[in-house]
Amino acid sequence: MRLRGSHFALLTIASFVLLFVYSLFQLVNIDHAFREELVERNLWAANQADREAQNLMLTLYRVSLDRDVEDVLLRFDILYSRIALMADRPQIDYFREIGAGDLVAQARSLLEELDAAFQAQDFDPTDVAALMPRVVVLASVLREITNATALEERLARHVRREALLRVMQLLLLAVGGAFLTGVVMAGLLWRNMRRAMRAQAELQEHRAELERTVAARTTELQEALEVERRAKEVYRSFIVTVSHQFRTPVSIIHMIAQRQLRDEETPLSETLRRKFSRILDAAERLERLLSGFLASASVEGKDIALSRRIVDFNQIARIAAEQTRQANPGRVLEVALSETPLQADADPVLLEQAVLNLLSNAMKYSEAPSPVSLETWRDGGRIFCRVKDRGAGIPPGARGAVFDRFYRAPNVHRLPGVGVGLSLVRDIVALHGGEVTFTSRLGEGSEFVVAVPAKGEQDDESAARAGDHSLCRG
Amino acid sequence: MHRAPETFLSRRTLVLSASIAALAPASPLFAHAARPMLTITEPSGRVRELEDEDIAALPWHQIATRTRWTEGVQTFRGPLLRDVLTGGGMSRSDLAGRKLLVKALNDYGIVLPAGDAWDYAPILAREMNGKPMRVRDKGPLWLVYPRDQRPELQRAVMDERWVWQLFEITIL
Repeated sequence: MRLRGSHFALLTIASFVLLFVYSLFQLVNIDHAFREELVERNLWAANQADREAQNLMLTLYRVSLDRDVEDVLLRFDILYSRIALMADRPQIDYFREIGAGDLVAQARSLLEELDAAFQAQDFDPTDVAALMPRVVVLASVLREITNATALEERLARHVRREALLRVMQLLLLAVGGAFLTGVVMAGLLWRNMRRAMRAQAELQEHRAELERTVAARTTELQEALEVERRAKEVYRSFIVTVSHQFRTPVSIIHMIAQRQLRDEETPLSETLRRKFSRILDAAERLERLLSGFLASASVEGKDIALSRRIVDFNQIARIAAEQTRQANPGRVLEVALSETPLQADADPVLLEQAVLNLLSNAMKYSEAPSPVSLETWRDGGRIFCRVKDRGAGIPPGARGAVFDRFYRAPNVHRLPGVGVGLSLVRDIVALHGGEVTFTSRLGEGSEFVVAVPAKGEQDDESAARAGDHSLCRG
Repeated sequence: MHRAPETFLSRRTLVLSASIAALAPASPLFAHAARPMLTITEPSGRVRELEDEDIAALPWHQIATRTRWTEGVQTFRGPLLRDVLTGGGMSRSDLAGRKLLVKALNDYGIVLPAGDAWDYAPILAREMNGKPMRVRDKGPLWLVYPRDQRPELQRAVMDERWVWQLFEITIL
């Protein structure tokens, strides 16, 4: 539609321009004709000849009075030149064109007759008046030519004037039309420009609005994040402070209980020994708990630089199992490690902490004599480690939050613990590019599976998981 | 360069005149027979009469040009107008700013600037295409401008200055 509109405009302008060029061409032609003065010139020539014929007649009349033959001859010569002029090209072409060619030829032949008479040997200069009748005939012929030419000149003038008028009208039409079209196009252009400018302004406004919204949202988010961060920091520093404050008294309690139990000189009564034993156990548990808190706080508080090296995951599992057995002498721990070494590029201390946490959780949330099992194996590019207990299990409503920090399932509130263990496990495993999953049935037990990349697969895996790192740790 | 002296009167006119002279020696015809080819009247009132020999004695120039009244290119020969004008002792500066009244045998006359003689170097043509011009052929003298050579001369106004059958120049 728009294309057709512009085509139409172009066509209109082009036709006006063509009209303009045509009129200009016509005008130039008319101007040329004016310059040529063909008609006027020939009318003048005819008039001159006519006049000279009159002059000759007058002189011929006068010659009978003063006998000035010389003057007659001069007049005749001048008349001769005038008629010769008409009979010459290009003048004769015009006279032929207007149908006076025969008249000119007639004048010419009359002239030759007169010339012959003047030249005749028996020419009597005193009797030149005898030539008068022939001069009169010549004069009348010349008068006829003059009249025809004058008429033609008037007609030509009218025709030319009309042509001029027509061309002027055409020219006016072309110029006016082109001007009007130009005005219309300029108007359209102006309208389009205004539209474009308005659209541009609206777009700008919209964009600015968007920017403002984004900025406002970003600020809100940042503020929320800041609040969250500060709250976390408060929690962390609270826990660290509390843990540190608790550590010393717990150590003292631990030390005193130990000393009492080992004192050979004053053996304790059985009742006291049992009580001190329980104090010692409780103190040890408290110490482990505090260590866990501090480790967790340090993991969250700053980026942990993993001190990685090639380790055998089986070795880590063995150490963790050994420690768990020592801490829980009355419990059964079934260990089924992979027969081949499980090479991994990992931080052994952190990974050991993770396995230890899972094992201690399994011990904590299951009752003796139900056993806890630890398995390791390799499947493809990944190393798996499963810790399974036959305890109370995790209630379905709590399963989404077990990895959250300080979360504790509703059925374990009577048991000691603050809810940092699993979150620490998740962070550590995530740092290694692995993941922790679990399945649990209420009343039947839970099973946690840690999967970390085996050596050689690690780079790809960690690269692939680098994205969720912070997510897992958050 | 030299040619037989010839007045603007034709041969048969001479014969005619001679016979008339023989018949009537006291005829007033003879008063006109000695009419000069060109008469120049200077501002001082001095009148110079130039005959065919005087014209022939001046250096001649040639102009080949189209004219308004002829077909095709014509070759004209004759003295420069400025040589004719200064022949009586007047200099270019004497003529500067003056006008010339140029008259033809048929009483046609036109006033043109004397400066034309230097600006365009027109000639008083005596010959056209190698033949002396008679009164019948627009002679004896025709003021010819180098029309084809100078575009500014190709105008109707300038064409009016081409006086033929020229016989008198008055310096105004």
